[in-house]
Amino acid sequence: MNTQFKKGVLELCVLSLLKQGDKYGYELADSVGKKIDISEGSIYPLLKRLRAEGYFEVYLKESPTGPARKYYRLTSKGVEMQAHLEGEWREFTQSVSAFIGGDAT
Amino acid sequence: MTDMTKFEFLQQLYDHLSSLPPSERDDIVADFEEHFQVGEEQGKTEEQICTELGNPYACALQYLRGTGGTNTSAPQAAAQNTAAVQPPYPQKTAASPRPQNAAPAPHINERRNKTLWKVVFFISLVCAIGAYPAACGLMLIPLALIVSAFFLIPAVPGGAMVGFLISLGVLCFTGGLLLFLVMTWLLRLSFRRSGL
Repeated sequence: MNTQFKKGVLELCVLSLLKQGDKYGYELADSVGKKIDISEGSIYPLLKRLRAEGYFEVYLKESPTGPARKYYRLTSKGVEMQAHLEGEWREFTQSVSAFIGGDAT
Repeated sequence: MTDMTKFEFLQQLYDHLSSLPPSERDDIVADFEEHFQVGEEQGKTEEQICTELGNPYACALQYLRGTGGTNTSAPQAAAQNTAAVQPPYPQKTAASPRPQNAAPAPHINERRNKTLWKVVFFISLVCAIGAYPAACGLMLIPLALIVSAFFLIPAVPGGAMVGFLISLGVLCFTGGLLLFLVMTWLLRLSFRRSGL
């Protein structure tokens, strides 16, 4: 799949994962990396940018096995953004599906 | 890139982030350290995690551009980086229009700094062509003095000449060594700072 295309939808993937509950960096990178063929390293710059833009906040939480982990929690602004992107995504895929199916001319 | 260790990955990431403030840099590296930590707890090897993470340079570039996940891929980025070296006045590329999402000012500064260091690097590279042979020559002068002293001393009366030759030799050798070290230091520094 096209790299640019994948990177564009990463934001939606991360926001949607966090909508299900707070997660730490590795969980996010691992979940996305398993489904989408992309360098997991590019999740972290994305997380940093989205945090700077106020879509989520971070907190430290002790882990049973090692040092404290950095957890990400969606803010209300983040929830809005996720809904917005999800809407755009559905609209976009519907249009593309219509082209593929030959319904749109 | 596949057989990289955790240390190499973090080191390269850290090096490429040299233009960021130290606290931010440490923060970013800590995120990746945590990733390695958790990955190893889950039974992955360092090499495996590195492969999944991808190129540290590509990661660093995304931080520097403030465009996490939305912009360039690694090969393009590398191509842009080498392309910036080619023009004789690379400062111009710093002002080229480029989509910027956040914090444009430090990012332009960072690019200008890098291009400046590149200029310094190439100037010192040109200087080095002359400086290294000169340094070697200077360091060899004492040898020449010793050889000539064998023939000269019997002919010249008094010990004054010997003292003079010794101090001249030491001076030349120190000068040559200094030139050599300064040149090497300048080359290394500008090479690192320019991120070539």
